[in-house]
Amino acid sequence: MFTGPRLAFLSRQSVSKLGMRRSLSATGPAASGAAAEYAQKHTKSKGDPISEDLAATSSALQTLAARLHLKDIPYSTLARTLITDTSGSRFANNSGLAGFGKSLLAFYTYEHFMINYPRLPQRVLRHAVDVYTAPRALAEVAKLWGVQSETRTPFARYLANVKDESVLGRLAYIDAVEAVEPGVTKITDSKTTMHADVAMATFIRALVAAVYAHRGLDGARDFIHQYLIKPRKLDLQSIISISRPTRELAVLCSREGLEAPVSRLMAESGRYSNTPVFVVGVFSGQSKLGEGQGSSLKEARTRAAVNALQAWYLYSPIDPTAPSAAPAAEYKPQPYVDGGEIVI
Amino acid sequence: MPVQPAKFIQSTFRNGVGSFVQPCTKIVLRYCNWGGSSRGMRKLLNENIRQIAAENPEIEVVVQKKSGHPIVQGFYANGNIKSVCVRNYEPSKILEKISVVRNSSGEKLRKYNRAVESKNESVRGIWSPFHVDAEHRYRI
Repeated sequence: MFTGPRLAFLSRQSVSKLGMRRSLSATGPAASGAAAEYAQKHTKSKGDPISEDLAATSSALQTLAARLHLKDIPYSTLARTLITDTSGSRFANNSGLAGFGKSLLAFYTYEHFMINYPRLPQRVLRHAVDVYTAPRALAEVAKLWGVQSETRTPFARYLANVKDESVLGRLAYIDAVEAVEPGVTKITDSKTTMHADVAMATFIRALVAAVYAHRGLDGARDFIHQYLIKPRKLDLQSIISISRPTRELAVLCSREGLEAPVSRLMAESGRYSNTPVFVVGVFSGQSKLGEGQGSSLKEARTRAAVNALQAWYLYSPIDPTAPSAAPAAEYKPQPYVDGGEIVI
Repeated sequence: MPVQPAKFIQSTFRNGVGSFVQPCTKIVLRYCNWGGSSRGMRKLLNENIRQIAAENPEIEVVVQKKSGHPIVQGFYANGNIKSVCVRNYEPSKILEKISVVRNSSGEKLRKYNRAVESKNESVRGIWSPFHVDAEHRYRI
């Protein structure tokens, strides 16, 4: 598991390892040409470059840029993020951009959780990041942004006399899921097709890389936070599932040098009725660690232990500073080292 | 492993928190070149159409000629379409309808039965009869 200082190091120094050079992060109009040139030379996605004049004729692209406040990003770059490598388009595709954007997205999402919830167990952390960055989640976001799809094969487009130019502005891919006839769905798994969710995800990842290319690292970070992290709400309390809470709490207390936890009945009602309620608090010495209520003493005790463990795992510093939010020289890592997960 | 993620828990995406993306993506203004009910729409298209398009860069504005009553149609990111008939309307009233279509979320209209609807839990928590003062507690 990374700790704070290591994150700070990663964010500033290792961007080149993620797939693009630092030189690309220069902002301003001069950078756009350099970015396009670089992407053309160094990525796998070969194809014709998209001219700015051609891309600017697409009303779908113009409205998408306005909706996402991306007016400072050239339409040609934006058009490219919408062409997947299965589209069969003659233009350069988004696979290189998407690969880099995926790394950036994962990095900042991990950072967000590790800074805000430093005690989150590893598996829960991985799942939480997955909820934010998996294709399914990104596809949901892309649909909310109003991204339209173009799933015809190059042959079908040729027959319909549709040129590659007129497809710009719509997400071009060949769908792996095809409704052959009512009740029959054909699913193809090959390199020439793509699932809809994956195609949408490559667009968002490529867009993150495009924002990086034209606004720099901080711009990409802000974009990820504003458009992908902040709007999503995940109830962390309910995703933590604990199989043996009372035992785990006892081990935790002994590891942290606290007195062994004791469950005490705090209130009850209708013990001899068919709807009894018990409120149990779990105490370590004088301090109450958690509280739970249930229709049996055992249930209430278990809920109290779960409540105490949730409070432990979901500890959040009052004013957490992300390493990437502060300049490298100013960032002071907090001297906090977590004991890690509890082993029972 | 004692602690596992509960993978069935769904997350929600709240447009407007952190960023807001306009749900309306396209507006179609349909008019008839001959019909009297399109008089207001024709006047609007002659005088204001450029201004409407310039004021809404995030929305694709399409003008469509088709016989019948004029309509204002909104296309939304969630796939829904909202159509408003604007026959015999003055340009000012049509502009009102355009703004209604533009500002709509595209969700189906439904009746809200509760005064407050929120995706967030209450800050104060639910009132509990077991946490009032022991003297006033009701005992069965």
